[in-house]
Amino acid sequence: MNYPIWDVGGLGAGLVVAIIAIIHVLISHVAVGGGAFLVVAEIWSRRQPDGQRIRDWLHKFATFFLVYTTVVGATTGVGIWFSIQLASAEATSLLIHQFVFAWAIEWVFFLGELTVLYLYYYGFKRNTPRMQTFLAGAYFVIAWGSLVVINGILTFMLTPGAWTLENKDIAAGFFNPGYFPALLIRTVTMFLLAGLAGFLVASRIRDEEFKARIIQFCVKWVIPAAILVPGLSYWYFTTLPASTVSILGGGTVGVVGGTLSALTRMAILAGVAGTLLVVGTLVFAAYPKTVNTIAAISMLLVAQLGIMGAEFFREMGRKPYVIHGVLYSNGLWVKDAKDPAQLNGSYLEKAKWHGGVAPRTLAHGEQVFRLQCASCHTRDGYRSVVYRTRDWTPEFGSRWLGTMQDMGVMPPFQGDALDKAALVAYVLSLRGETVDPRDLVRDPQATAERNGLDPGGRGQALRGLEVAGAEVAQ
Amino acid sequence: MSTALAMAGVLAAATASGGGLPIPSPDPLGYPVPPILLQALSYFTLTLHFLAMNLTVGSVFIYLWLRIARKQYDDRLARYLRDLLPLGTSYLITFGIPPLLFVQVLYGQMFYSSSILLGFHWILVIPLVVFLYGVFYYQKLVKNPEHPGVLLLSVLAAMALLGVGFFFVNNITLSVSPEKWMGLYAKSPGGRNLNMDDPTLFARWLLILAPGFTVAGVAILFRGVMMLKWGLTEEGRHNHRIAVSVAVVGMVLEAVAGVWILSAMPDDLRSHVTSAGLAKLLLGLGTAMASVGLVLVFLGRYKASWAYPLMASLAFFLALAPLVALRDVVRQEQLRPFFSLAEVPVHTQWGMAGLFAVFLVAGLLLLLALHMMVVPGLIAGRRAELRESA
Amino acid sequence: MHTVPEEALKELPPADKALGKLGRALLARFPVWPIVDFLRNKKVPEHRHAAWYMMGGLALFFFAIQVFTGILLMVYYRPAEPWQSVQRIVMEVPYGNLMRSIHHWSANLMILTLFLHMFSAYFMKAYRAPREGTWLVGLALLGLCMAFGFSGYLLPWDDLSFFATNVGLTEMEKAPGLGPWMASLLRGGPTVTTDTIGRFYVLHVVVLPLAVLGLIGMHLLFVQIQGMSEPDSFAALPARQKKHKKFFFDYFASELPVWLAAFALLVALSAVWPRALEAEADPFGAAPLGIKPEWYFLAQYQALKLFPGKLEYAGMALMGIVPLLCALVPFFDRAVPSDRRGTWIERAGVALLAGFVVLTVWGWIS
Repeated sequence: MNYPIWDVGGLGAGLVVAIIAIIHVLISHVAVGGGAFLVVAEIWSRRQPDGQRIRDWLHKFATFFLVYTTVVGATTGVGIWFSIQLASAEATSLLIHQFVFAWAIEWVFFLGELTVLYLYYYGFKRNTPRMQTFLAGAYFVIAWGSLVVINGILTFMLTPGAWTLENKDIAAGFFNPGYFPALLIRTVTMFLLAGLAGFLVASRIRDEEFKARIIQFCVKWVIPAAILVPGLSYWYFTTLPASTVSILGGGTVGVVGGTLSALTRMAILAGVAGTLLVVGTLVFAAYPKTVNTIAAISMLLVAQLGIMGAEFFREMGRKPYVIHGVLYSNGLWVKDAKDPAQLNGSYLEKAKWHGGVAPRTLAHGEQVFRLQCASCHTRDGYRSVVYRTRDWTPEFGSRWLGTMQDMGVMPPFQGDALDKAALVAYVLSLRGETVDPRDLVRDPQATAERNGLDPGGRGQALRGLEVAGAEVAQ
Repeated sequence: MSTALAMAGVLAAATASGGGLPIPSPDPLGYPVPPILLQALSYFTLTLHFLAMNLTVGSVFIYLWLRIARKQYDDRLARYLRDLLPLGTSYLITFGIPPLLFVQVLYGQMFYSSSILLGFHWILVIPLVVFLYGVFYYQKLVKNPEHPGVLLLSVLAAMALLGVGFFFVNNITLSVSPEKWMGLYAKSPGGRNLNMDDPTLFARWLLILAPGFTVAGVAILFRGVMMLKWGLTEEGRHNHRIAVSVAVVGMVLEAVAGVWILSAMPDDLRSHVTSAGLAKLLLGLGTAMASVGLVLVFLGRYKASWAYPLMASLAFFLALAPLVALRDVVRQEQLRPFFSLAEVPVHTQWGMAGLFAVFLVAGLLLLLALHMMVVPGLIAGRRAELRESA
Repeated sequence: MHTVPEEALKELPPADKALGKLGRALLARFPVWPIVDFLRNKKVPEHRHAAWYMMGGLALFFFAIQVFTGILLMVYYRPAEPWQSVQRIVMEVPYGNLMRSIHHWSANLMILTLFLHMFSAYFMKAYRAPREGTWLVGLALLGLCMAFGFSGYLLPWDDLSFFATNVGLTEMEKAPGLGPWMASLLRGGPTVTTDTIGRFYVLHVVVLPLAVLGLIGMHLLFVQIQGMSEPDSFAALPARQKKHKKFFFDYFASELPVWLAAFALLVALSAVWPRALEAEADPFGAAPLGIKPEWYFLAQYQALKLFPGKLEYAGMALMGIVPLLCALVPFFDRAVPSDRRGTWIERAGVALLAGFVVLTVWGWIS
């Protein structure tokens, strides 16, 4: 309500962040891992009798590397920044005001990494071997340094640790409980992806003997990482906040998730992806000459699916907060939510971005939807509200809004009975029902008793309400 | 019913006064250091960003023109500019990050609001940058850069660059116009707004782009000096002639843009810029140094001396910096009815600021040392290549 | 007892080793050395269209997953209590939901891969003589797999299943002549009831598997006997330049990662988007808003909507003519690639593909 909302129909602003972030994570991790790869390849190439041929291949790798880490990698990183300020300006503002100098330090690393890479690349044929190796090494250290910094800010969001809005303890917030596990996982993932990228570039080599040697070189990067990453994830999991664990552990009751909690599904995906990577890489190791571009891309796909899956579940566990325990995803501060006067007062009067709507109209309901719900839900697309409320009656809806925070994944509703009525009317209108919001506040108690409590009455388990480990008031 | 009317009345009344404007409250965390420090850092890095951006913009347009003109030596100069483009783009992005960061720290509540209202147009900057950056690398690495398809891509990339600037100018101007916000928000929830009814918008757009020719001109001046020093005199003189022409073109366009923006401003703002102490000083300083720079470019014509392009670069830096500061002075004046930097509390993080300073100095020293070790070899190599192909 | 051929004796491990003894014993009882030798030396051409050539194997991989997960689901599925048994699978049976989700996603991926396989075979003209039979069997397989999808969709007996099947059968009924009879046969009566489940279930787990396995066998047998078809660019190369890979295990080693990626995709989709079970079907209830058939039927569904009222028959005719023309393509296109007829066939293929994609997307968004 402090900020306007970017209402991206069908997708939701959050998915825009996710799409850009998925691209960025893949490329940035390859970029840093690739740095380590370059250092080792530099040293290795000078020890081989056919060093020149290896260096020619390395130059091709470096070209590919330079172009896509800068053109797509760096820009999508900035892209995440652009998209988060659109999706969640309040949270972005908090992060920037708390961590501006951390970001500034990261920028120094960013500047260094880029410049050193240029010196390495443009001096490829002219620099002395020692300088080349030094530059590659410097690139890796600096690029890894940028991860060291951004990791603090990222992990802070899910596990702020001892930081509070009052104490503003930046050290506690930066070196939070999730920091070191995440740092380790990401670093190992970087080596994994660097090796897989190496497969891809190697698959284009025509000379089969030479290709085989490069493949064997890359295999040593992939297999240990593929085994370690799922294992390290367990360490990360132990640092997650209790509510996140209960969301993931409870999973989704009702017929959608079934007996498999989100956590189990995540573990299965991680385990399967890791195992398949090891198996595939062993096949590469046994038959290196047969590695073609499709096979290399397939392995990258397996890794990417594992990573995307893990990130998807992490995001699931983040709800309802964007900064855990401090700020809900829709811009409501936890401290305000704890104050009944703030929480239950008229929303339209408090919301700065009320859009000039008149109260108790569908426009009022739409504004409430946009400012409180649209940060996570779309009307009829991703996380569809229409789907989730398909069995709502007005009375049930209004009452449900009053207890939705008990689900664990939802913030509390901010507003009074008028706001609830307007929102319910709007939501019902999305599926074609015309409900006048003014009718809904006349005598909610009597109407509820008249219409009975069970909406569908078909004895089904909780349809349309994907809930984590909690019961909906019946 | 009467309650509804009363509420509507309340809302109407609230919107009428300035207090009803949907200006978000500043972040509860406040500023990490006194704002003047953040502003200073912001001016410095924004100047570098503008220089890199201008270099890129000027280079791509001159490159396109040279590709069409194709007189003697034009091709080699075109190749030089073409090879500069990816580097220019890298640094315009890299130096663009700190000012964007600082504007969000200092004016976040204004900037985020206008960004969200711009919505799609704002996020469109990212794919546009990816596209133009990719094209610049592509045309540098592709085997046949003369192919008409590649030329078409270059044209599109140049347009994309202009587009990015356009969206930025829209955002910046909208961020200081909160009276427009509610209306735009109600009109386009999906964020497809622009700020084209702002009278200074297009002037501002030209204002930031015009120096491109001048900065590219200095880059060409550098090349000309290199040619002269390597004994390629004809080529050096050719380069210098072009350098002077484009530098003048840039200055003229910038002057036009300056007059345009001043005339498009509201009267009180204009008088503030042209007569109030600090603003007038900055404007005067900027204009004076720009003139000095232009004179230096002219004086450096046909001379095989690094002094002229180096001093011209310094002069243009010193011209741009005060103008960048002036930009912020104007912004604060425009925001005066709604917000001032002084009203935000400062919760200092001197430790972090100090740590940043240490990293910055160490990083710059490292990069300087590496440049000194690597770049001479690169130049020698390039000289050999050019000599062979001359 | 048969004599083991000389060649075989040379290739087998020595007679004193366990494997050598085993090999000799088997070959003496089952004289299959020619087959083993054939497989040993089987070569696959290497060219830049390799990706498309993997589609058939990938579809087979997904089919194998279907069989495996299908058998597991059959353990708990009860046609007499369809919805309840699926609910039990999803909510109580350990990993039941995972198996069910994999079964659902693999079905969709299998059909998608089959379309890719068919279209790539079409555009690379793999149907030309002597491979007409392979093409016809392949088309039949595509049809049967879509029938698999249709029959399986009803089995959970939830809202979505019931009404989607209803929609499909209603369309079928409109076909002149055989339409009503076929629909009635499938339904076991005038309307979709639990009797229909019995029929669909038998189709899905007995009739179709037998037919499909038989046809897959034929399809693969034809390919083995006739060898892999070569794309024109490859066939035009001089013999020296044609590169081949041995199937066991070089080609297999490069194909396996693709299958691994396909498996990873299946698990990812099933983990992140498990298949939902809607409310139990209520034949007297209202159809869910915007009920449609599954995506692979959307193109036909949308196409039929373009022929309202009396024009319906034209639409139906089109539904019959298009597959018929596809089947007859090998008999049209016999000549060299530069032949005029060849170009028309390519254009027709592009039109069909484009039409299919456009209609499917249109059907989805409307």
